[in-house]
Amino acid sequence: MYNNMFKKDDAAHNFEELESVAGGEEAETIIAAGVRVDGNFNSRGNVMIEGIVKGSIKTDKDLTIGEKAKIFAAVSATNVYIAGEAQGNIKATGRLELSPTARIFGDVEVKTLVVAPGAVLNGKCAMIGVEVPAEEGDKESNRNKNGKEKE
Amino acid sequence: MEKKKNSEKSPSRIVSSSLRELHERAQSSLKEKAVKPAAAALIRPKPIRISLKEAASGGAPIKRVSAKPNPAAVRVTGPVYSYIYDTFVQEMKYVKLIRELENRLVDLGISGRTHRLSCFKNLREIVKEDAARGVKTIVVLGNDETLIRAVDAAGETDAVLGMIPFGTEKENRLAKILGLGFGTLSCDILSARLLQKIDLGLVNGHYFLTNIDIPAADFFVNCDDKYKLSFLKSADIRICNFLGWQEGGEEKLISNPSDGLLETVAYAKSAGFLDGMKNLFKEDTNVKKLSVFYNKKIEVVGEAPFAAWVDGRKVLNKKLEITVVPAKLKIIVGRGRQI
Repeated sequence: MYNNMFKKDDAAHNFEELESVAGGEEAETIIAAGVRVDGNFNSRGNVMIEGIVKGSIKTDKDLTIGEKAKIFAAVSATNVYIAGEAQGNIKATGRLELSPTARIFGDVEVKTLVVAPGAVLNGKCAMIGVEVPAEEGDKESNRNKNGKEKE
Repeated sequence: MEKKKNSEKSPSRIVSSSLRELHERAQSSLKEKAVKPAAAALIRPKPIRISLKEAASGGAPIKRVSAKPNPAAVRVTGPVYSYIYDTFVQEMKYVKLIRELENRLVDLGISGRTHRLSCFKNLREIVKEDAARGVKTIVVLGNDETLIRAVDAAGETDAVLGMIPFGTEKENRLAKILGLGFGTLSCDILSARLLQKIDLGLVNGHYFLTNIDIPAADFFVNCDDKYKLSFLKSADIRICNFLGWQEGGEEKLISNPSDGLLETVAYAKSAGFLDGMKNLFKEDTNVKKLSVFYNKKIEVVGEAPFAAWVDGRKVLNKKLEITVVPAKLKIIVGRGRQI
């Protein structure tokens, strides 16, 4: 009887613990004008840049580089929208969109590319997921090689 | 007759002489036969010492009690709840309300030990003492400021922190975010026992709940040991763990205290800091003036000592090491909470 009584008493002082909702890592990071970032900047959420960044930028989501922004960094993101200046290689696993004011000095690796008239792109451009077609001469030599191998 | 008396041995003397003989025989046999020491101990008579207290208790052995109290014993006997009244709560205008609250707490079966703060009673010490006594729930009666003061001490203990708000809604913004009601409703919320684990910030070894405000000065910010923030113009910085913002009478939250991250908000000076904070919620503004970063570890390093306001308290330092301690504080919340 006494045991039951104490058990009841203990239960009365127990708390119902609530689960915490973690969503901060996916929130939007903003680098405003007048702010300079030096180093390797990694994020899981969207990133918006209006200031200066030197080093590297990596995000799992979208990256927006504003008109007044200056980037001296290697960039890796899903979708990238550029209106400012970017010096460094850019890799976008989704879409890269260049506005008329965009100025890019570096190689670009994208799945989908959208370039507005007036945008500057100085560098190599490679499309992700597209095989490079071989030249005609190379094709013939490949066929001959394959034929010999079959014989 | 006297010679006869002397020659006749008393029974006590006979016993002592026989014991002595036995002892001598045992000694000689030990030397001769090299009897094992354990056997010798059996033969050798042991001196019996009885203290006065034992003699008084009929020879029963008495346990010696050390001067220091056993902490485990103290923990078991302590009350489960403790209530700390802030100084302003003890004013005459709250007497009736406190009586109602105390009656309600008794009805709900959650009454406990009470402390009334004064200039001689420190909130920090009371919280630590109660936690050491085994008090499981420490409830502060006061406003946001009281809660913030209690957090610094409660962060170092395992106790659950509760609050009964007093004063105006403006003075109890945290209470509103936590979903705590006013008056006897707050007692019902305490009794409902909904518990939320929230993060605490740690700055130079001290816990903080809400935010750190650093006015513009000559400093830079190291974030997570990965990148450095510097400012072309002077900028105000706010490092947030738990911050609400009011807009149109509604409480808006920009920092979630249970995400395991601190928010660094920087505002390059051109207008007021508060205007910048308001702009953060305006969706139509294209140009963002506020910078927002999410970090677990932040270092603010200045060329010279700079002023910072930690939970509203001024601190002067050359370097601030700030980290987040996830799910450090257990706090009682209501159903209408915003976190």
